[in-house]
Amino acid sequence: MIEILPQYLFNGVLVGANYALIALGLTVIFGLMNIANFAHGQFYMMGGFMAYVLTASLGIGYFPAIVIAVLVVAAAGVVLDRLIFFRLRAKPLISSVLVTIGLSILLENLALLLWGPKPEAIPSPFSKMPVVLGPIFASEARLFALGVTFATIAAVHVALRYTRWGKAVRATFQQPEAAALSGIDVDRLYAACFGIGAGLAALGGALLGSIFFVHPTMGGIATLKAFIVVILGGMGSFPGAIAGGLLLGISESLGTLVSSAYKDAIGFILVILILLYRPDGLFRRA
Amino acid sequence: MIGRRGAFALVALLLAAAPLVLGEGYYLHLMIMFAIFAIAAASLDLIVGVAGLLSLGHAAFFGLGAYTSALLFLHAGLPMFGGMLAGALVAAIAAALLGALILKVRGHRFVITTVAFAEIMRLVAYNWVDLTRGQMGLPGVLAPRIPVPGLGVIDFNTKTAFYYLALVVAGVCVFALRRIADGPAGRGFAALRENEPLAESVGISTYHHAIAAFTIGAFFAGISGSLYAHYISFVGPDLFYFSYTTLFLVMVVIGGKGTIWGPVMGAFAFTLLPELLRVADEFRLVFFGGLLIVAVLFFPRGLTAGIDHLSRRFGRAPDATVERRADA
Amino acid sequence: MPEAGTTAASAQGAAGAGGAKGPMLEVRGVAKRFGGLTALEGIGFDVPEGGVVSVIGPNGAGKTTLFNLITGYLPPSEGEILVRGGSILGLTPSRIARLGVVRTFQKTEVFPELTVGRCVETGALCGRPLRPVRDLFRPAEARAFAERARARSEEILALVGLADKRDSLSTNLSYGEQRLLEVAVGLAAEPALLLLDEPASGMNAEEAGHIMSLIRRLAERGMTVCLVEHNMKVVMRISDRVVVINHGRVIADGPPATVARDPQVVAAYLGQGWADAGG
Repeated sequence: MIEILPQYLFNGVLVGANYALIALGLTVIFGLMNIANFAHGQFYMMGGFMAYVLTASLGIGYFPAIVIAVLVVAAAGVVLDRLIFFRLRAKPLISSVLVTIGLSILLENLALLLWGPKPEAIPSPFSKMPVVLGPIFASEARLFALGVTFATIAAVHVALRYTRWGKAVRATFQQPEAAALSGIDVDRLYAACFGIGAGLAALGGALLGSIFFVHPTMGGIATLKAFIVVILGGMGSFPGAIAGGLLLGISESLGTLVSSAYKDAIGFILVILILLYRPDGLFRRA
Repeated sequence: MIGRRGAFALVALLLAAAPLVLGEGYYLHLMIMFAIFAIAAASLDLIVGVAGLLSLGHAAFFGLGAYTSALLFLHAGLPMFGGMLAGALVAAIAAALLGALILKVRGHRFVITTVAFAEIMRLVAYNWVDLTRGQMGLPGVLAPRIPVPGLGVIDFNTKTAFYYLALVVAGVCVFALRRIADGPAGRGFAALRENEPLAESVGISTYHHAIAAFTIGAFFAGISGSLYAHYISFVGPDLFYFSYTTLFLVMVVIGGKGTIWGPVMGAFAFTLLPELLRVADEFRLVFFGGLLIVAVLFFPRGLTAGIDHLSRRFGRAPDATVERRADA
Repeated sequence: MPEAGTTAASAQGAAGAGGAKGPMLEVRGVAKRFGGLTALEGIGFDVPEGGVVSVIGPNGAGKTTLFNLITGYLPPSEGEILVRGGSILGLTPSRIARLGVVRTFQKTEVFPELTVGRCVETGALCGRPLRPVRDLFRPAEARAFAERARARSEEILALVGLADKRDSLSTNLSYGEQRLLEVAVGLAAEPALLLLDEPASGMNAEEAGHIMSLIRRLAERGMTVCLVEHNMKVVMRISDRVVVINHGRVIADGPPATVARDPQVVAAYLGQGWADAGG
């Protein structure tokens, strides 16, 4: 048992970092605009499919394809913000949830129409040979995904902390009215954040899609996982989203040691426990 | 200028005459599905539309009702009506327990937890193979055969007979839901929806009202699920899918939330219209999603607004007990 | 208002006061801290049954916080709050309301999608047990309740002067009318103690005069009214007693005339300039 533990931890960190990436985008949208975006997982799915179409159908190289996929989905995010989400900002929770559920159904079924229900693999240049790191069997694709994910999370963190843009985002988070008064163009900021949130999810989809498969219905479960992470991390906290993602990934991976059938239930049970005992999330100080 | 009673009688007559016109075929099947879904949509409306609690786990209670009555039928030989009551009670107890745990804090967290609950139920139905046979599901859940004095034994395994059965059950359920929504409890639910701090300030316990609305809604969803199980004669883990919840939600929103009878119209529209319009299957869900977006953003009061508008045009005041819903 | 009497009496029974006529409300050594910030410290005063008591103090003195503590919207960091001798600590706002303590909000609160009449009828739900199943099978009982609630709402709307607005949507009322509506909703709950948070704020002089005379009439009917105001002049005429809070502490407590001459109050007046602001 103990000798396979590092392997499970590694797998958990890999998936958990991916959850964190998706949840970061959701946190931005949720914390900033107070929109519970149930279509967020569809950005993840679109990222995966974009990468698949660009590599498998258009023959573009793997690395540029990932960059293009992220940019395309980010642009789609901005467009959707202008078309739909800006109308939801002053609306009650129920409207935003219903509209984003509608959007998720729309996007998922468009993807089914376009690409069919078959899971597809994103062709990547990585070797299939395992990379052995002590007790851990990894692969080039997994290490690449892990590296890019952590680098991206770090970059987002630094951008939020130290750039002018990041300060504006954090200011708007806390005091939207004051931020608007101090000359921040809130509408543009929201659109940009929406694009970035969508792009982060798309990156997650493209990276994990090159390890596993891409599938039109992969967005729904991703949305749920991202919401679980956001709740674990304490609604609207960036460090919380990162820690929550890792926690969920690792607990699911270790959970497979106990029961692989109920692996997906672990997150939900965690959430119910958190709601009971730490309603502000695990990582938020009172 | 037929008035409310007249309109009601006309609709009842049309519904009663449906099998004569439609025969035993596919359209009668759709009418049965309409009756079943009308209960589910109206019960969700009590939670979402009347009490303003955004439950995204309604499929869980629908599925619990279906599984409970299927299991009791297959293992204990409990006929449909007993199973229906048992299914409704199991769904209601599950909702009361879950609600007691999570309804202290409403809002976003409640929404996510309801999704999570339905997902856990699906995983249980899928993985507890000894009880549920997992993905293979439970076939052979038969409709009842009821001996009626003077008529002999009525076998509800025919579509026509089951249609009348479903219609009566749906009528009773919708009537009960509407009476609850109009009664003192419903006023408390509306207060919870409209302004929680103000409701609390005049002695309305938002926590207890939220649990009550959630539990009553789940009870009727359980009835709907049980009816479904005995009609289709098969239950499987798919019943817990989020797509059932979204289907019920769409019916509620398109019909007009908070009115109970609006979502019944929504159920009618969304069981029959896609068939009548012969929308290709693949496009149906795309259309579905788009419609939900447009309806919430631009027609938040749904079909009932249109009916109100018409009845006002023809000089009849609309039902005064239905509050104007200004916004989604 | 007979039913308020019964609720209040049962509250007294539950508190074990055994019929002794204690004060309606006792606030004892109450403190409230938000993080490191102290909003209230060592607050203590009684509100006897009947009459009008005003809690005044400049903006930011902690008056609304005090109301939130008394009505259970916030837990106090320290101290004890008793309603007719029974502690209310740990009770939910709705539970406290059913004991007869009903409040209004500084920021006007109404039920936005309901008509004026229905808003007030909703307040009449106070104290009625939630029993949907029983109501379902005994519609006559439910209907009788609805009729009583309607009659009471008509009476209250006439009292506050909104009788002609009964079928308007609550959000279609003017600001001053919405404040009156909020008082009407509270009255429908038949409070023994009504807490009003700056009832005249945002009102013009005529509306303010109207609500002040309404408060006086309620007190004459035997209701205990406690109001919070930053405007001292508004309350001097109608209050039987004034409690002055400044910087989270009680600095004076007594009849209006005495309080107005209190050197500490005068100093606070001059320092804050709220005499002028209160014009």
